[in-house]
Amino acid sequence: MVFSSPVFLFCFLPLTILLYYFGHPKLRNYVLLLASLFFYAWGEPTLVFLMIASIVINYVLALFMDRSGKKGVKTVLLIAAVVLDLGFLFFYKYFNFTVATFFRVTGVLLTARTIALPIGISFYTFQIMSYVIDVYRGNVRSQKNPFYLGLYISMFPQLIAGPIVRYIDVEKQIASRTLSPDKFYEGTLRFMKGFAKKVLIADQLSSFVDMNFEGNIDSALVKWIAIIAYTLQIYYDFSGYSDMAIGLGKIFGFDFVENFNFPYVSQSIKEFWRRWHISLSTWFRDYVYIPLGGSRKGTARTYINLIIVFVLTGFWHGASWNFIFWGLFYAVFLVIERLGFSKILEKLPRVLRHIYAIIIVVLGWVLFRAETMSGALNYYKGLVSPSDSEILNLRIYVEPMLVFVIIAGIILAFPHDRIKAALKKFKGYEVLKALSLFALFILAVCFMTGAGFSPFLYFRF
Amino acid sequence: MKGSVFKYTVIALFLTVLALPTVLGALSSITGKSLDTGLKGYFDRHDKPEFSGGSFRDSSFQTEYGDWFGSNYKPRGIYIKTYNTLRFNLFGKAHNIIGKDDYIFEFDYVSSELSLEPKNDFSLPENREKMEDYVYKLQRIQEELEKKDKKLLFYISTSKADLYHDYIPENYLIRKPEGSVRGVDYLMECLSGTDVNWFWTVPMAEDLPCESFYATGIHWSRPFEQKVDLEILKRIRELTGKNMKTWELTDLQTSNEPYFRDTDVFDMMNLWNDPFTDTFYQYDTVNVEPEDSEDVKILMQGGSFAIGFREDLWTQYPGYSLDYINYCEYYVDKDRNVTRLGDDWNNLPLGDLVENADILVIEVNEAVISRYSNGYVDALYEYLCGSGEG
Repeated sequence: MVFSSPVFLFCFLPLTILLYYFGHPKLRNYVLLLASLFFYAWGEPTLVFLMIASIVINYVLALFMDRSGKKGVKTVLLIAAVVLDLGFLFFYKYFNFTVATFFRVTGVLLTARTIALPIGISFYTFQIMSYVIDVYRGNVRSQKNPFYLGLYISMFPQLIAGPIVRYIDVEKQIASRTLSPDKFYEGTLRFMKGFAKKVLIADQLSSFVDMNFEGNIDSALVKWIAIIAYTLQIYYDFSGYSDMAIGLGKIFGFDFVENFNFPYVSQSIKEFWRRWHISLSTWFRDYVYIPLGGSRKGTARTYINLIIVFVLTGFWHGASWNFIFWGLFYAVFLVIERLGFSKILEKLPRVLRHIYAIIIVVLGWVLFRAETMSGALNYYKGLVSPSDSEILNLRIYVEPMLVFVIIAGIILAFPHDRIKAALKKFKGYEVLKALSLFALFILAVCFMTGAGFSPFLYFRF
Repeated sequence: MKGSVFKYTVIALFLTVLALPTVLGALSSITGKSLDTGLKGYFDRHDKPEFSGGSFRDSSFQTEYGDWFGSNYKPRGIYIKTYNTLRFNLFGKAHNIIGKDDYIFEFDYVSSELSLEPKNDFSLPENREKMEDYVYKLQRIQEELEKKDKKLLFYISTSKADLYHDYIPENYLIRKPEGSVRGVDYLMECLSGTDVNWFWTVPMAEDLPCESFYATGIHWSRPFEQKVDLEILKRIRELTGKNMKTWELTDLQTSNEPYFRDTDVFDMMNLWNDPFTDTFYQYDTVNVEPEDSEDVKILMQGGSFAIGFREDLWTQYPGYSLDYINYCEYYVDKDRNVTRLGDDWNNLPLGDLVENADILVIEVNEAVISRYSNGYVDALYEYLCGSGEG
């Protein structure tokens, strides 16, 4: 069940809000837990038990870890939990890839049936690992109520696409949180904003981007426009989803961490990763980079750590060489910046710094979006191989609506702090903002419905 | 205080949007009123699925429920009309290609007409070879059927992109590869060198009381379809020599609403400003049943254009012996029992159907020529001629 679907928006969400607010206050966590399990089971009716098993196992291991005074026992339990969690993740996400890679390298074909990837496994595995690691470190006490732990892991707003909420950040909120009209109002605005971003911008760009990456169009200019469109699509899709998750969290009384902070205003790759998918970057920083030594063990080791973290970041996104190279691509630029390029950048005008960062990011998305490495390389080749009919291709493929959405997407990707500050001086700013978001939400509902409108192609029976 | 009232108002508006389908659905059930704006046209119908543990486990319940809910909630019509109106009026955009004078085209039809995709360019040797093999098999199938005292009738249904070529948008017309050959042209060239019983439906588009294709439709207009149906019947009678029941076209009816099977009525007909006010036509019919009439058992394969004949035959003579195969998707018998084929001819009792039929009718639309009847001709050839030949 995705947020931008009629079943979620008009059935699941109103019913959950109704039960949550009109049920007994003491039962709210249980209502949310059951709703979350149902939400997950709707898409993964059998693999929901895998998630439940993962919750139970980690609950027990963390409980023992917390009770044990011995460091050795704690370490063994932590290793068991991490091996198990990563084992599940490896089996469901990376096993097919490993078999295929093994075949490519050795020529030996291991017979293995294709394993379906459970929705959101990367997200909930990282959440659950943050919990056991924090218990091991003594940063938090273990959760005594298994249902509360279950709620933390399975909470539907952030279950399938983040943000990766760390237990330490919501521990107190699970036990006790305040519900208020102000918070509900904030959540409503945030949800509407995210919904509009996803439906009105990201979804409108998808078919044009898909057409280009399917390799049907022989035009460098159109390919450049397509990769810019994808740059916007992935941002509005992912950040829109995060907005909806954060908004839903607020509606149910939670405060989740922010996941995006206008990443495309970045003036370096380092800055980009502080603004893009913040919950993932901080997870890797706290649970991989710093334990590896971070930047404390010398320059060479820092670079190696950076490369490890970014290769893992890439691999986390998907079991494919593309993603590994995508991570590596960023690692290379981060190392270059650390090697001294950042000092050169500082001397450049702001606009050039921005152009540098955005070009790297845009080119990086080719690796991310292409389905194979050869597909990515072909795309790169296409970007620098103009055809004889560039203008003609522009006329054919670049429609007015696409241009409108791209321009709107670019404009809205910037914070416009000055304009906002000026507008805030007006008395009716808040009202105008809320009504605009509501209007966009209604428009997005129309677009969601219209896009799913399937006129009957003649009659079939 | 003022601020709080406003916040409550926004929350209430938001919750109203979420709850509207449930509230309107309930009110509609109570009052019996639609409480939504109607949409013109015929749509996929989705029945509300029955819940069972098994259907939930294999996710079919979720899929079917999503389909059912997604096509039934209120005020879906208002949302869809708003969406269509905005896209069309602001950006000239619809689900299909919008051509000159707002004539719509489906991409497949334009692609085959202009040979936009390599599979549709029959100047290419590999495509010519496939076509020649296809027509050779049709010829052999007809020969083998003749031995069994059965007949074959093959016809090519017209594409809107062919008859309304000039209405295709310029940015598609300019993409036509130089020296390309349309599938329909090469197919007819190949068929002309054989004895296969075939015809093309374009001549039936002459002398129609209306357009052969409406601006808002992908498929032909109802009178065009009715004339093609009679041509099929005439040829079946001639080929089989049987005095089968038929019907005649009489008075012409008109309506502002499309007749069933008249038009696909895509999104452009569902706009708030409603700029499309076509008049739709349909001939009345009267059955002609000779006293010594004989039934002909028909096995028909084709796509949506062939369905017109099937429906007309079953409307005029319910239960008439016709077995219909839609591409390789499903098979419908005369009692309207449906068997899904799932793109696999092994799921069809082809031998039984062929042996039971007096005539095999194959319909191919210009837009799908490069699908070569979805392997139906190969399957027939295999059955009738065996794999050892050719």
